Formats: sequence, structure tokens, C-alpha cells
Amino acid sequence: MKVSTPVGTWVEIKRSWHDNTLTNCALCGRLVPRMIWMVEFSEKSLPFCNEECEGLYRSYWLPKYEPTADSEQPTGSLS
Amino acid sequence: MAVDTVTLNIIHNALTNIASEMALVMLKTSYSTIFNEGLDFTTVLLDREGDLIAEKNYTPSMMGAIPHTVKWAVDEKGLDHFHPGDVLVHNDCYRGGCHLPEHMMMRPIYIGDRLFGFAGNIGHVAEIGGKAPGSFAADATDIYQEGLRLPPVKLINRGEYVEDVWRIVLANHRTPRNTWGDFHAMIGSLATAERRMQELCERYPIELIEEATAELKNYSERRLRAEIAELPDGEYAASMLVEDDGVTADPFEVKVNIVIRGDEIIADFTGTSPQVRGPMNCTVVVVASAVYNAVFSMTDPHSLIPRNSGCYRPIKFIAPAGSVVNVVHPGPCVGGNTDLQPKLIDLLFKAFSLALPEKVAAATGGSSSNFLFGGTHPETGAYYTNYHFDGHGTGGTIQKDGNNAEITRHSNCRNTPVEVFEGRYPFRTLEYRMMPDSGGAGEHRGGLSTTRTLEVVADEITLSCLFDRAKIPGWGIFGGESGGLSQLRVKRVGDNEFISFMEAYHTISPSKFTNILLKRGDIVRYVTPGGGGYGDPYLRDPEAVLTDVENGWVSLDAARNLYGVAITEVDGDFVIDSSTTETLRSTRQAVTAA
Repeated sequence: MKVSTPVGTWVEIKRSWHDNTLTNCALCGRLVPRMIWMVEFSEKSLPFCNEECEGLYRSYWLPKYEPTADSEQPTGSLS
Repeated sequence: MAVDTVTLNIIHNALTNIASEMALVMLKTSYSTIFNEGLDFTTVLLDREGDLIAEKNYTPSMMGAIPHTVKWAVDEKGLDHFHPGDVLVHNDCYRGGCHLPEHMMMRPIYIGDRLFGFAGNIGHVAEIGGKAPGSFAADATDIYQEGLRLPPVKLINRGEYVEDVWRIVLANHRTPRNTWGDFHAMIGSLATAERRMQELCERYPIELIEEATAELKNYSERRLRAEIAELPDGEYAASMLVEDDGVTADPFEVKVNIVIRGDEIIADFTGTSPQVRGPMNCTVVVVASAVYNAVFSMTDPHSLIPRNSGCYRPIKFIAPAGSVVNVVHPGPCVGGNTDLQPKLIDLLFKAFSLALPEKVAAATGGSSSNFLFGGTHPETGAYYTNYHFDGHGTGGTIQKDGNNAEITRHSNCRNTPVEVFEGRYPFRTLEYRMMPDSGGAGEHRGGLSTTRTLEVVADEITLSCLFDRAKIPGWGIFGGESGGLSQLRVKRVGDNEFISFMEAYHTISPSKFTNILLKRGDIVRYVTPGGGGYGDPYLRDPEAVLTDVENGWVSLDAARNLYGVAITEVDGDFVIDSSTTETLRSTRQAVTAA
């Protein structure tokens, strides 16, 4: 079984008090209030709640809905 | 420091009792009926990371929300934002609120100068401004029409009122006296929690309590994982149509794929319709609540596992942002909490029925049947509003018929007694009863819905309604029939008969409309939706059908046509005609076999 290694980095959201923008996790849709697990993927930056959401995105969501995408490509993998 | 089992139990019970006492404070000191009669609130204790450690769960829809809501507020503001005596409020539905009326308040709990955690509560504030009295605009097209939105802000700072915030709130709610009272009920509940926690820390070292709460979370996680591991692995998909959003007459679709993998569950709503224009969208924490509710129903229906953040860990959900199950700014969402959430639970049950047919129920009525009104009270001259809801039928199960006249399973709320309702508001109740034939036929029948007929006894009342299942009924399963539809009808002064609101006022939806002006003597009649049936109605015990007929719950025609049970009335008593019944049932069997 292949196990994806998370490749994201923690990024702190810095917004001024009058900025009403909000960020949602690219997988589960939950609010990410301050610390984003940011993953560069297919030339896009995807915000996740944490490594767990990134892992689920790779192990479940991508193979199910975008099976042609190379879901393992940006990660290291363990056999 | 290891915590022995006895101490663990004592601390668990102490925390749960504190949450219960918080709820009692709200119940006993609030002003509006939605709190003190409807019990539309929940109280919790959380640790300093914002993890749930105890709850008094009056309202399951808030149960799934509040751990997220508090944690996100702490994350956004930072722990250094909080000081002893602070109370923070927010109802921002894009930041973890269920919908705008539901306000979350939280207060840091300090033991000496050490932050232990937070006390929190969510309560449905009956009036928060917006375009419709009662703040339930069934035709709202953005959040700004639904009322005043508060991001996390302090109401109380180090024990002192933040007067500017209070002035903004009280100037924008139609019934500020009620808001004042209900907000203080919530604030009092939080203060009680801090006092009780301080007393608990006089009996046990704070380090021991912190260790106990960590162990309680791990214990709940282990217990729930063990339950999930017993379920059959696989993917189970289901979908449903929801009839309209209040703004257009178009239906929209919700899809779910449940994945059971070992000791974890994923509820994936990918493929669900984009968010709709009207207020039937729900927020992400509403989806969380629906998922937790359904999973706990499958794994721990008697709530034997302590409810804390630990038992949420094995449950994942995917709710795409911008879809009808995760509204983003500026989408409206007041009805998503009340009228999409119960159907989400029904939908999850439908998916689970593929794996666990013995644990699920047919669809419920799936609507809170929200009935909002306001005006000037003829006796007091004061402006009033009220948020009122009523019970529907729940779905039949493998064990029993659905419950009659029950407020939705995501809310657990109580109805308001007629005496209280009439004492406060200028409606006269002409009729309040269960609706015959509204329970879907089945081996185990769906629960009956309710009907209420109300006469206006003021010069004017402004009415808004957000019901559902007026076009698409709650489904039956395994051969059961659908539940009855909801209806909203009016007989205006001078009219001879009841007609729909679409006919009378040209509303787009038969069940969702805003700011209809009723006049003295007008009569409104509503019927809530019924529950679906479980199993083939022809397998229902004829004696059970007879009892239903005797109770006035099933008509003679339905008994014959839907259940194949012929019943005749002899000298005022109902009697089963056994030979005709046998013929009806054997004929149907023969047709089915052919």
C-alpha cells in the first residue's frame, strides 16, 4: 500500500481587523481561521485544515473524483 | 499523575452537572418562549484548546456546531485576547454559526490566574432584525436580509459591559427587551459555569482535572472507534431532491457518499448542488451536526459514550464550500439549519440503510415548520414578535411506528403550550390535533403530523413561514409509503373556504413566504409533514391498523386501500372484517407474485 507523505507547510493568515475575508479548507470545507496547511498541487495552492485533510484529499477524494490526476505526484511515497 | 476510574467518573459527572446547571440557569432566567418553553439552546464546557469536555445537549444541531464555533473563535482571536470576566458573542454563520438567530457566547474560565478553558452556550435569539419580524425571511437572497451579523466580539470586557456593542445590538433587534433578557440568561449561565469549576478545583487539583478531561476524550474516541469498527466496511451512497429554496420554485439536489473504513467514517457531500439563492443553504457546522447525529444514531443510540471532542475524531465530513451544504458569503441560510438539516439526517439514514437496515428509520417530516409573526399587541400596545414551531411525524423503524407530533430530531425542542401561546400573542387557537393519514403507511407506520388552526385577534399580524415538504414528501423505506405533505392555508375575512398562500397572496412557494399581512378575523391553518413508513403496509398487524382507526389516526379508506384491512363500524365500534381482509391481502400477494 502506498502511503502519501504530507508535503504542505503551515502558513499563518495575517489579516487586518477590518478584512472580512475567510478561508475554507479545500477538502472538508471547514473554516481555517488562522493557521493554514498550504499545499502546492498541480500549480495551485490548496488550503487545508491540517495534514489529515491533505491526506484524505489524496487517498480518497482525488482517486474517486479525478482519477486521471496524478495524486501521488507531488508527494514522496512509501511502498 | 494517573487518574483512577472512580475519580474519572466523579469528574465526568461533575462536569456534566455543571453543563446541566448552566442550562437550568438559561431555562429559568430567559425572557422568550423559544428559550424557556422551546429549550432551543445548548450549554458546554471546553478546555483551553477549545475541545469539548462536557455538554447539556438540549439541541443536537448545536452539539456538532459548538466545538467548531468556540475553537475557531479562539484560533481567530488568540488566547491572549481573553481575560477574566470577558464574555464573547458571535452569530456569524460563515465562522461557525448554525444560522444568524443562534448566538454563541463563551467565557474564559480562570482558576486563579490560570486559564482552564471556556464555558460556552448557543441559544436561538428570537428576534435579530432583518427584513422579517422573527428574523426568518423565507425569501431572503443574502445574509443581510436575515438580521444582524456579529463576528466574534466582546459583550463583556473584564466584567464590564462593552456598551457600544450592546447599543448596536439593541438598536437592530425588533424586541430589544427580549434580547436583553435572553443575553443575560446566557451570560448568567456562563458565570455559573466558572463559579462551579472554581469550586470543583477546590476539591481536586487542576492538573488532575486536566488529565481527567484528556483521558475522557481518549476514552470516548476509543469507544466510538470500537463501535464504528463493528460496521461493515464499504461505500453507501444516497441522494434526495429538496423542493424549493423560497426564492425560486426549482428543486435542488443533495448527495452523500458514506465511507466506512475500519474504525473511521467519512460523509462526503461532493456533487451536491451549488448554494441556492434562497435561505435553504446550510452552514458547514450544520452539516457537522447532521453527520454526528446520524453516526451516533447508528453507533451509540442510547448516548452511553461521553459526548466530548474525542468521539468526533473518527468522524470526517466533506462539505464543499459554496454548495448548498456549506454556504459562503453572502448566501442566506436561516432555513438550512431548521429545514435542510433534518433532511440531511434522513438522507444519511437512507445511505446507512444499505448497510444497516435494522438501525435506520424512514424519512421524517423533515421540517421545523417555522411560523413567525409580529406586530403591535392589542392589549399592551407593545411591539412583539414570536418564533414558533411545531411537531411533525418521524419515520417508522424496524421496531416501531414513528413518533407522532415530534419536533425535529436535530432540535429536540418542545412545543409551546396553547395557554402560553394565547397568553402572549394575539392568535386564538381554534384547533390543535394530530393529522389523520399523515403517517406513511408501513408495517411500522410513519408518525403523524400536527395541524393547528389560528384566528387573528389583533388588527394586523405580519406572518412569515418557512415550512418544507409541501411538494416532495418524506420517503418510506423497504416498501413503506411516503409521509403526508405539509400545507399552509388561509381563510380571509369574507372568504368561504381555505385557500393556499400561493392563491391568496401569489407567493412563489407554497411553504415559504415572508411578511404576509393578516387582518383581524383571518384564519390560518397549517399542517406539518408526516413521517415515512417502514416495510410493506400489507404486513402490518391488522389489530394495529384497527387501533389506528379507533384512535382516528388512519381512516377507513386508508386502512382498506393502503393496508388491505377491511374495517366496518358496528354500533359505534370498529370491527375487522376478517374474510374481506384476507381476500384483499391474498389478492395483492397474487398480483405481486405475478
